[in-house]
Amino acid sequence: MISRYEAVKNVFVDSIDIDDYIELNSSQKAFEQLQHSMEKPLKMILLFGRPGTGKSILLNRIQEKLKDQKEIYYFDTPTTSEKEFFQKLFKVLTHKDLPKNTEVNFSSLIDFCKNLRGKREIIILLDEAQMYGTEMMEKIRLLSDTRSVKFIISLHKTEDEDIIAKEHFQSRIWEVIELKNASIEEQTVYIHKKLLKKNLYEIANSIKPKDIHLIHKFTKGNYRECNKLIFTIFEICEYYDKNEPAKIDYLHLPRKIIEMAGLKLGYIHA
Amino acid sequence: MHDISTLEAQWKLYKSKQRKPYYLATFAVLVLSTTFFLLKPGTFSGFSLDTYLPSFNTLKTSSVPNNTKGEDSTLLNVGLKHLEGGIEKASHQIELTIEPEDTLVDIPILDLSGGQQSTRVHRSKNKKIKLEIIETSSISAYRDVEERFLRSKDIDDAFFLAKSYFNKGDYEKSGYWALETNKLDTSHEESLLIFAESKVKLGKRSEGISILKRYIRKTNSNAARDLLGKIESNRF
Repeated sequence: MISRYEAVKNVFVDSIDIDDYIELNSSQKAFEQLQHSMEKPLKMILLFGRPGTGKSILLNRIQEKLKDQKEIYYFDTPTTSEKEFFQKLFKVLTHKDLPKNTEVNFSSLIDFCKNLRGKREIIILLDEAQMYGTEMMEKIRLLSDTRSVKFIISLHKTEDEDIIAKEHFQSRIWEVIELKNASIEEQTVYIHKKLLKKNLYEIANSIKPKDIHLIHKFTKGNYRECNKLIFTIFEICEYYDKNEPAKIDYLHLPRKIIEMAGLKLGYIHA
Repeated sequence: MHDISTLEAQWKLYKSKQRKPYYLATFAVLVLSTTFFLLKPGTFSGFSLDTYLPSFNTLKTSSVPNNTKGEDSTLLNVGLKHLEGGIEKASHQIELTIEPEDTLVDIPILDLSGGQQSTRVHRSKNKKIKLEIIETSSISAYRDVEERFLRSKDIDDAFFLAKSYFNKGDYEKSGYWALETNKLDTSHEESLLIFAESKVKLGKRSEGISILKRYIRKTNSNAARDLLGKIESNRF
């Protein structure tokens, strides 16, 4: 038996799929700010925010929107080795694969980039940049100094990463854009829009303001946490729908289920 | 979702923990309310002296003017000099125990039948009383009640003295205490009747009649009318 909640829970599978992007006032503002910054002759732009505030999806959206107008590349997973990173960069710059058993000479790469100045403007969206080492970041800075490659660096905002940001970027990056957690109003819009996008009107109506308050209390407005929590909520609903339908109210999302999901994810403790 | 039963058990535990402070607060409020109710003055008013002495406060009378006090007191003092008749000594007298105001206060109850025993009533501030039978032998009990009245201004004490002195034939004093009673409660009919009777017994027949007539005009009291009839027909 297929439960009505199966499709609902899948709406909240955490992804950076551009189709799942929800237009919110704050995200639209950040998008416009980023787009505007990219037009400026800046070498590096820092996209800053706690995990789950929508940095990756914003970078994806920027790439999707501007890919036909600009030479823009998205580096999602940070490479563990410097060699791998430069192989990737080499391909972006030269449109060719690096021959086997060869390595990129960094000085030659800098010279190559200097020659590109005024001819091409390459934008590289560097996600999860906190995973790059100090030496690597220094080389990225040197590449940006050639003015032919512009880096948009997405960085998690944690205590340690703040230090990285200060040490490596603060004096060099010309623009910082910070993404924050959603307010209750934004989270309400986010949840409802996500459901309405999939034509799940009844489910959207079953989530009342008091439920959103509780969800916001648990997740503190973090989009990723919100997705996780709502996925778990509907996973529990799905179980009840299939096995104990008497325990579920289709018109109202029971508080008990939200709390059970909160317990499962560790937001609250028994 | 295979751990639903575990999750439900966790949720129950979580809810019980969440509700615990509310349960404790409710319990505390209940305990405090009960304590407050039990300690509140007047909680046991159902056991008041009135229960045992209904005639003390069921009578409705009008007031006797307070400005008669000076005049009456003077008359009482003068009358005292000419007081005749022996004092009928009770073989057993009322014994009083003076206790601090905040604890128990004794209210002697008259033994009007002249029996061998008198009754003592213990009454606390919150009207909680108990009765006990005691043997009395001292006439100083009246003085004790008088002294206590000066402190407590208790109408029951005053009326007790008025009635006791009247029964003993001490009409000067019964008149005085009847007046004191009436000053505390102007609707206290029995005190007014004793006051009028005391006046007549002291030879101030016309004054007694005058008091009763005024009272009858105001209240149309049958008891006062009966007494007036007796006085006027010299059957008193």
